[in-house]
Amino acid sequence: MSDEPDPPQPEAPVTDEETAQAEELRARLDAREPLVDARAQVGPVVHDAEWLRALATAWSPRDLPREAHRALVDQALSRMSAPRPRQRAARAWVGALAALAATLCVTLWVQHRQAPRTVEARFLAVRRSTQPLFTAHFPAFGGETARIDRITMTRLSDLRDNEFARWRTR
Amino acid sequence: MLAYVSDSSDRDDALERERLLVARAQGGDRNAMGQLLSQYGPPLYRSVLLPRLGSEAAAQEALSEVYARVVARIHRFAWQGAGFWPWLRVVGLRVALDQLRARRRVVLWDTEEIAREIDASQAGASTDHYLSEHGERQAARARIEAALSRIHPRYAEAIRLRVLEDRPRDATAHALGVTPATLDVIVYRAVQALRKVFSKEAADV
Repeated sequence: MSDEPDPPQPEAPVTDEETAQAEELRARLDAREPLVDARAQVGPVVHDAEWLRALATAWSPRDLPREAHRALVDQALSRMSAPRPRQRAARAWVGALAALAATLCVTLWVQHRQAPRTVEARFLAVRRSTQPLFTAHFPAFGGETARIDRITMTRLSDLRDNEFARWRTR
Repeated sequence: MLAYVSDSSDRDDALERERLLVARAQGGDRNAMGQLLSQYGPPLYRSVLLPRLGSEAAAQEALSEVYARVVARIHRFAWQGAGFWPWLRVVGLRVALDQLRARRRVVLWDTEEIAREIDASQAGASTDHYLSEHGERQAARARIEAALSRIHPRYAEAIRLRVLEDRPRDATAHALGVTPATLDVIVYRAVQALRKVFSKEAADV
């Protein structure tokens, strides 16, 4: 706009075009119609009227009507998500449940670790003498290897049973 | 809530109450958010949005967008002891800037000017919205007066009486000593002259 020629001085003769546009501007100012869409292409006089109203608005801005403002506030508040205290409560519940689950896991793991000892106490073979393995008298010399083999086989059997008991395969 | 308080201790108390209110709003308290918007929305509309956007419809649309952004981004607001107003004002300026950029026509404020205002506001702004609003109004009037001083005095008088004071056509014509039809032409020419001044200012800045 700064490239446009300067407007004529007040005493300059009035053209017909000026008269027509001045009349249109007056009509638009008096009509006080709502402004057209700000993104729309409009004629120069409509733009002039809009510009003058903006000037008046900047000079003496009016208050927003209370009801209109209340509606805007209500609209904004309706977009707010659920109150954070509830979210915190939900997070607290989730945390508590997670802690409970972790406690249960630890308890089960400890019980699992302790479980073989319980089996050992109740089912494992106890220490005992080799005397019941030999009911008959044997000579002072000779037959030692056979006796040792018998003891070994018996103890191997006890060891195998103990392992099965620990593994809970019995 | 911040009110116009002269005593510094009262002002500190008001700031502390406002800080708590903001914290509640950040925690999802709708009542607190409603109090903040009700306190600061009207001055934002009156002193920031309406003068820059130039129409009540556009300013209301902008205020609605401001509220939506505040609700969505309140958790990003970090209290820095300056109150809620400076942050809200910058949000308002950004919304106004977005609206003006989407327009095909410039009203009074150029988009570059508003962008500079945003930068200046982030560097430091009045924490008191009463002082800020007063300053905004004074600045707008000074800007208009400066532009009026650069056009023909008769045009300036026509604009003052007919537009700024909103006097009736006949009364304005009588005050200027012309017929109503002649007044229409004077006003028409005055608008062309004044818009030229504003455009030149925007180009010079």
